[in-house]
Amino acid sequence: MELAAVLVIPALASVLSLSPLGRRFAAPITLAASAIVLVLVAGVAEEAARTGRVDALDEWLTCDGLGALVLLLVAFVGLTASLFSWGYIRVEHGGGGKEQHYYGLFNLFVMSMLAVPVLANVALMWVAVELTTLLSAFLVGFEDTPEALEAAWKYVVLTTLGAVLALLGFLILYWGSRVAGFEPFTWVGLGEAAPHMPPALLWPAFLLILVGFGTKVGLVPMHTWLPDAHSQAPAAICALLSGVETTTVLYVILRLFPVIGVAPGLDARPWFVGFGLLSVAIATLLLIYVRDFKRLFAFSTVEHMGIILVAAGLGGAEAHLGAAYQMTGHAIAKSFCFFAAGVAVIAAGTQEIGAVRGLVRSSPLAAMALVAGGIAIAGAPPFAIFVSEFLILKAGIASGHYVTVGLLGLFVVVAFCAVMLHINKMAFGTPGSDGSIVAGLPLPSALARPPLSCKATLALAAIPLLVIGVHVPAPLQNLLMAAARAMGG
Amino acid sequence: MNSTAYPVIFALDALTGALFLLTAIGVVATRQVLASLQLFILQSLLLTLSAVLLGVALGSVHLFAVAAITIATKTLLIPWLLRRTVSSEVYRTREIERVLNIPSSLLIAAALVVLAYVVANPLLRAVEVPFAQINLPLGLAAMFLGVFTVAVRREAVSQSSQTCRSSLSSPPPSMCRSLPWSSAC
Repeated sequence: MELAAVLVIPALASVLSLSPLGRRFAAPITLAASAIVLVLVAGVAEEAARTGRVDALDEWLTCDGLGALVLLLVAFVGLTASLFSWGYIRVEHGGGGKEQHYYGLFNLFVMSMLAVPVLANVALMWVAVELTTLLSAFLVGFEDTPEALEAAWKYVVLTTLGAVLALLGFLILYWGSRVAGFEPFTWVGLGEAAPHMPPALLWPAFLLILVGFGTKVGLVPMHTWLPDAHSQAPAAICALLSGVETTTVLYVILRLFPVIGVAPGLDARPWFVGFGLLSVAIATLLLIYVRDFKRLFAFSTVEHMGIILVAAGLGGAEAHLGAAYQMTGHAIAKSFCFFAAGVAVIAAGTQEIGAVRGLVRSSPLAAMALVAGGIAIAGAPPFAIFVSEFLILKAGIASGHYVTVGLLGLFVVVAFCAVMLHINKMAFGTPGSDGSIVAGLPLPSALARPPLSCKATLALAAIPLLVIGVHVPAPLQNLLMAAARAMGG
Repeated sequence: MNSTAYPVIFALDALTGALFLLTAIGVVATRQVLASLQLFILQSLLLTLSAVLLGVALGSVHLFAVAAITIATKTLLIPWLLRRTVSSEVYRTREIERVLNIPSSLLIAAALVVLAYVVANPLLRAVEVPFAQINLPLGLAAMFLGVFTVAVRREAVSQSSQTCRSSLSSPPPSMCRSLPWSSAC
């Protein structure tokens, strides 16, 4: 029943936010709903880690280890993002109708992301993925600037084209499972049907879904919309888009892996490794040349998605554990980075890396947060992404994929240097030195002090950021193991 | 079931499919905004007809639902929304700016149709379904042509972004000049 409640509560919160009550209380309603959802999801995740899967409503709602992990990440970032929005939206857009509109969409967007790992029926899951696009598109264009509208347009057109390809893939899968004589079109049913399906159907279905949903994950070369959308949306929405929406869609692709794995004569692994490495390589190059710090974090998302895909493609329990750990670390660190970027934008009045120098003097909080977030996503110890990348590289060496590991290691190191170079200049650089833009520097507005809720979000999001790299609590460890098992292979 | 069981419906389906493909290519080749909208409506009607024919042949209620949804959204709702949000002046005079000229776009469109048949071929050989022989490659071709149409038109972007801003008479902002997938960094 918790699974049903997890979907109903955000929908209710959305209705309440749009009702007259929401005129004053939309932000607290959303925050309360997110908190309740997180508590329920924590229970579901604990049970899924213990028993392997949680079912509700017959075969409609179900959740295994991997699904529970994604669910938990979405619920956590949903909570921090709603807390961040409270002050941020009030400061940037004022209260009233626009704010209500924001929270109405925000709750529905979170609901659609929660629905993806929970819906058992594969066709309904496709609908949920498409809903995440439609609902977040308005949030991407929420700032109403030409850049934001263009970003939203690109986002909708490209990801919808991708979704059409993926739909075709799912239709072929459905066709295949009917030909093989298997009835329920669920992930479990697909796993059972896959060995009996004609490979001529399974193979194009896999490629269509990989390319189609790969567009939404931001895999190179379908990533061109991602840096725009992830840099133009309000900071809290960026955190959701970059931190968990990409992971949610990647979850669908990872779900295909065991399905393809049991089919005779097919090997999905080279595709995963190939797409993953290409994404990491191109994202690393773009990270060097990036000029906008929200784009910096967006390219880092492309890099992380590539790493997770490579880890899934390497195969083996340890690499899959690394992938699950990387997903967790990414969601926590990347959402933190975008909150930090939101505070930095308020403090500096710009997103240009070249225009921000010596932030540590003008806004120590924003600078500290950016540095912490930057170190975390770049993958330095003691943060989780260092541990997960280490696990993945180690698993790759153990299974003899020396070329893959060598390339991955190289790109990860270059990306680390690129991220740290930019962040370091912003936080500690001297204004006017090293080619920074001094003339026309926008003066920090009267609102240069970040609202209280933004500071509280940074404090809240910093807890798991600092903890899980050093110590993974036993329940989370069990959940990660369960997620790795569910990835199969 | 095989194609001889429904000779008339099979032939009608083939005819509908051929016309459907023709309209899809027509949209690629059209210059005028209004004409392309009318072609789109015609294409949607053919799609509806195709769903009805298959519904009759296979005795499927679901396909009639598909036909109903298609006619409600693609021939009524979407054209109505487009006409409401974009001024009639745009429809009368505006020509669609495009990246490629019409002959080369038509050549590429033809290549895409051939590609659709190449892609569909292994699928069709794996499973013997008579109507799929006609409809699957055509569906793929229509999808490819749709993607291609979005890719070659610059103004399609401006149309829709005008819809977003609901500013009817102002010139399209310069942002709309870019293709959705241009410029990564």
